[in-house]
Amino acid sequence: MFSWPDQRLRKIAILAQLLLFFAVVYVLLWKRVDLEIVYHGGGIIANVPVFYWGAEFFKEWLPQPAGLLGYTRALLFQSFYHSWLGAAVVTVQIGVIYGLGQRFMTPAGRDSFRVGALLPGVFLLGAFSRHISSIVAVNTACCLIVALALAWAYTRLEKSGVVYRIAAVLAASAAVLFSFPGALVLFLSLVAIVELHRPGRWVVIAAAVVAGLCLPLMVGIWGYDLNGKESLASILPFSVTLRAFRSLNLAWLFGAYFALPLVLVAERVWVLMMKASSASISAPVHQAAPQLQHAHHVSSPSHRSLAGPAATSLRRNANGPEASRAGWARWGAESGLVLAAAFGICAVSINEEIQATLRVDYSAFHRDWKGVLAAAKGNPNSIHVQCAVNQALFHLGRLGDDLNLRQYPEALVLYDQSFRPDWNVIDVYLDLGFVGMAHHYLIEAMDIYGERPALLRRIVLVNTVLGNVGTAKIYLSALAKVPFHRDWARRSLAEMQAKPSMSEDKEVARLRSVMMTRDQVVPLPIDQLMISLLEANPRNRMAFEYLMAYLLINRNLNGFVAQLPRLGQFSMGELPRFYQEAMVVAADGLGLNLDLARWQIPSTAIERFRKFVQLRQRSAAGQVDASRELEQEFGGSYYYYHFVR
Amino acid sequence: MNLWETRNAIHLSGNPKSELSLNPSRARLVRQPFGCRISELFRHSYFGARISAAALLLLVAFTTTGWFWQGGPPDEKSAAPEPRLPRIQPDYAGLVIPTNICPLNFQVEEAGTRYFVRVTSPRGQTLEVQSASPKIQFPEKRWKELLQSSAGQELRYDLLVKATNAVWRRFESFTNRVASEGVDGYLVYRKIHPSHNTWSAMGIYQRDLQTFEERPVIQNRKFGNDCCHCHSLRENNPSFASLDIRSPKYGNSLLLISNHVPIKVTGNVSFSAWHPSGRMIVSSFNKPRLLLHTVKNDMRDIVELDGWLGYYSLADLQVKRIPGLDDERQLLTFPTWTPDGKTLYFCSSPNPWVVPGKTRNENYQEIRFDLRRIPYQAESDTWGTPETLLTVAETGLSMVQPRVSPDGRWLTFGMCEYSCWANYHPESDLYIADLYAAQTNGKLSYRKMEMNSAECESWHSWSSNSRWIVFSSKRGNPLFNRPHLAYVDGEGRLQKAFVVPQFDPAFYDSYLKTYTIPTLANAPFEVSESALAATIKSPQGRALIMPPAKPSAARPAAVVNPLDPIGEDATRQQ
Repeated sequence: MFSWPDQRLRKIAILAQLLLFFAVVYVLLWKRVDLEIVYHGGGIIANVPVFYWGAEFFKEWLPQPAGLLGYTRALLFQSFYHSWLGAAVVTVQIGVIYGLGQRFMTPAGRDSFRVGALLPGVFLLGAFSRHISSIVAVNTACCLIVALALAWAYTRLEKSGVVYRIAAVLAASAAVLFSFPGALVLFLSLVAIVELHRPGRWVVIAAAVVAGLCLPLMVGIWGYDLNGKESLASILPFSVTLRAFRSLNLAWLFGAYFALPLVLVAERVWVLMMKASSASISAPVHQAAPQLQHAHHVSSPSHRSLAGPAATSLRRNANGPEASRAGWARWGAESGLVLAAAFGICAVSINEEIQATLRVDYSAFHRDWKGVLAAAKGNPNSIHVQCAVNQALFHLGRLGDDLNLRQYPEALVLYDQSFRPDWNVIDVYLDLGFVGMAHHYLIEAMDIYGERPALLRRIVLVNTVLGNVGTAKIYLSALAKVPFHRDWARRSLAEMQAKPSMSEDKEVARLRSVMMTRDQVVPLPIDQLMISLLEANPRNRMAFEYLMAYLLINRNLNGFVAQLPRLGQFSMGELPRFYQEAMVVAADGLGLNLDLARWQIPSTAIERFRKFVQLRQRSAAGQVDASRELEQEFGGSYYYYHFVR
Repeated sequence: MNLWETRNAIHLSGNPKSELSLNPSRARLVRQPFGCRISELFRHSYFGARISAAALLLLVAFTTTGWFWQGGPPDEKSAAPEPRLPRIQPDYAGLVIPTNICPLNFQVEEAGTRYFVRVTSPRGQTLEVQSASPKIQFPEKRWKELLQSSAGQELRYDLLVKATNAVWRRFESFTNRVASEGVDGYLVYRKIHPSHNTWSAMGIYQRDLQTFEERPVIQNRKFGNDCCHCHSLRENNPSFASLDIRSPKYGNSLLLISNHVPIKVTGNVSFSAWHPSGRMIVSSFNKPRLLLHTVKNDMRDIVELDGWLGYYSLADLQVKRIPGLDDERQLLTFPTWTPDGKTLYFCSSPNPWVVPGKTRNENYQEIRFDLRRIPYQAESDTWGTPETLLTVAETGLSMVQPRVSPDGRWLTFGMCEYSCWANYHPESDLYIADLYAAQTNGKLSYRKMEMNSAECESWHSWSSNSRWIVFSSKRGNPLFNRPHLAYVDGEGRLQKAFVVPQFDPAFYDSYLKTYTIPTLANAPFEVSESALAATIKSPQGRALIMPPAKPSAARPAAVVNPLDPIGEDATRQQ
């Protein structure tokens, strides 16, 4: 126990500590967790809440179980559109939780346990850092605030009788169950803690327990047509599963939810222990009491007995410099502890691979191709990341040079739904001009991931390209009710109204120029698919480069050579590295009919191939040095890929 | 201040003002304009009542001012005439409407700052709505009174729009005729995203057509987000109904509602038709599979790999093949009964899959359905000889979804280029044939219904009084089905169709779900959603006892579609 020589300084120090903590939380959420990638979802995060402005949407939510919670969560989640805004909203939530939580502490206990009120915030930070549990974390934060606010309001009924208090508990519980049912357990726990020192406590606590068990069943079964299990499951803001617990998702949420009651119980126990220890120090109490009351606003009889330890602190107060040093030391220790907790939980919780995948998809969606390549390093083996990397390499003009030859060939267009690629390939198909398939995946993705603005925008584009103006307008009208997308949607609606064909839109015109023209039934093998696209428009460069990439990855040099004449459609300048190497292999290595001089293959490529052949022969003869050199010098070449790997 | 401080302060003094003596810094908290905190005022009933009264007065004042500010009804004589009809959405002009339909709210698509609509009946009754918004929403009670007193007569709509220059423009009036006949009070449909293979939220809902109330019959979130579809009612009566359930978790089943009691019957059924007796059902057992096109506007398509008709009584659930219709060389679907229960109509196509080695990707266009029927004697449980009414050779199109009007006179059906899934064919339209005339002439002649559009029309059903048809239409957009109603006069002529009204007239403009299998019902479902969900989830249930399998004929070569790994179960689709 320590005290500050100056209460004003103490308040400033605490304020500074809190500001520092919340600033760190804010920066971590903004920069490290990067909440906008959660908003984007990237085909990883399902059930992302969709929100529309307007009474209709609100009315849709209200009759549902936890309707108000769902609506609030959906609304708050929209702030994640910008990382900085989402971080601010979450930080404010954590601040409110701290502010409310701290009010439940006794004056005496607050000095020692004040930092405990930050624990829910620390755990929430951990939950948000998991990315995939962010939505449930918003839920939990909302329920925490509601439970704390209601419990705080309940504490004001101190002078009310037992019956009145029981009625209040029941009424508040029912209200919670119809609006934020996930707040119920915490609310009742806090009520029980608050009641511990009041007369008639056991009756009220028993009523709270009964309310906790019976009201959810009554409200769930009669109010929402749920079964018993579903009714009881709703009284927590998250689903309790062992799997979620193991993956930390649930652990942090559980911690956030129950940290405060545990801290408060610990604080009450501590107060009791202090009372017991101070019982023997009775003499100075009466002398110190007036000052204590002034300093701590302690006046209730139950806390006068705390005068013992408090008196000790007062004596330390009197010592001035010593107390100041102790106070600062404690302040420093507490500050270090909470900051370390914030950094630590964030570091432990973030799954780098998931974050990288989310970031890759976010960057690809925003056509930040360099960003895609940078983020891809965090999870290079993911087939979805590889797909986006191929797309980025094409747009940067590097696909023929830097293609990962060792990738699963279907990764080019994720042509295998066992990977659930609905979301990830949409833009690839759009870029290629396979508009129908993009439409198919968009509709499927919308059903899986919800009416997400990112998907709606693309559906608008696809329907505009297909000339389905009526459909495009329906999606645009829906988008016009989504926060942050309203202006774009209204502008597009106006443009569409003025010129329904939208033929002046560059992207629409491009897609119309590369769309397939011959109807076939899907699935088509990837090479046939690309050839069909090239039939529709021989200058479809992406289809060509993807076709060549597919043939190279499959070591199909006959097919590769057969497609070379299409190169005349494109002004490539110097041929990409892998094309050169594949041509050399085809001509020199496999003896295919290919005139290297016609394609202006540099002599260095041919010389390198000859060196490769020599090294390979030596390696085959068992020379270890040759094998090593072969891999070192040619490991990244097409020669090596074709013959060795 | 926190709760401990407050409590302690009051506890000590019994009077909040005495806090001042405890801590000067707290003086700030109690020195409020009223001498105490606002909340304290409400603790005294005197102040509470005054404040409440003041708030009420303010509210009344604001409302009254707002009403006056509207300027009252426009001076129609000084309004500038606009010699054309106003543009309104949905297009609710020139209709025949039921006496019991909810208000036809619409949106005026004319620029203006105020809108005024007056609906006048021939008896001089009027209904006026003035609004600052282009959305015209009629009061339900007065609308109902107006319609009920105008049965068989025309309602005139006068519409005025106040332009930005404060001048009212008066558009040409338009009329709607109130039919003498009402429509069944409820509409049952499924709502789902227009998805192909996957789904999240879907459900079967019933809409009260006399109000705007929509209530779920069963939503898939009640049973693990699985699939519910293909509902059918016996004679428009939901006390006898069936719903198909596809649920990996709880098993595929046919949910039968017999006299309001739900029964789970396990089995894979596609389309069912209740015999009017309510004791027997004919179902089609199909194997639809998804096809994706590369170029078609809606790239989805569905091909039937198998299809046969079986019938079973509710007593024993023993499925029997229909004699004369158990030929594997035929694909059969869409059974439907005549109201007397003596004839079963259905669709039949040559089965291309009996030819070995054929793949569905090659032969899908060969599946085109004739329209056929077969007599049935319920008393003796005997079937007659099947008869072909219309062939693909005659029509050039594939016939689907036949329905017989409850008065037995009209046969309606859809036609599309191929397949039986008209919903994916923009060329799909609805047709009508006079069965009485066919009986006299010995030849069934048919014609396209007047209210078809350039987009797909499909999934239709009759009202109990044979005067109304409801159907799904994609008019205006090729993706979303919307339920439309149309009046059928005594000569079988279809009047202008109109979309089922919504409270918010702009509702369909941004609604991202599609409506399928709209079915008129003369009463609401009385089985609760939870009872239906509990039945679906129940491990107990009776099973359809299937007939012995026929010797396997050639089946189409399997083409594994990597885009569609979830079993390609197109019956889950619309």
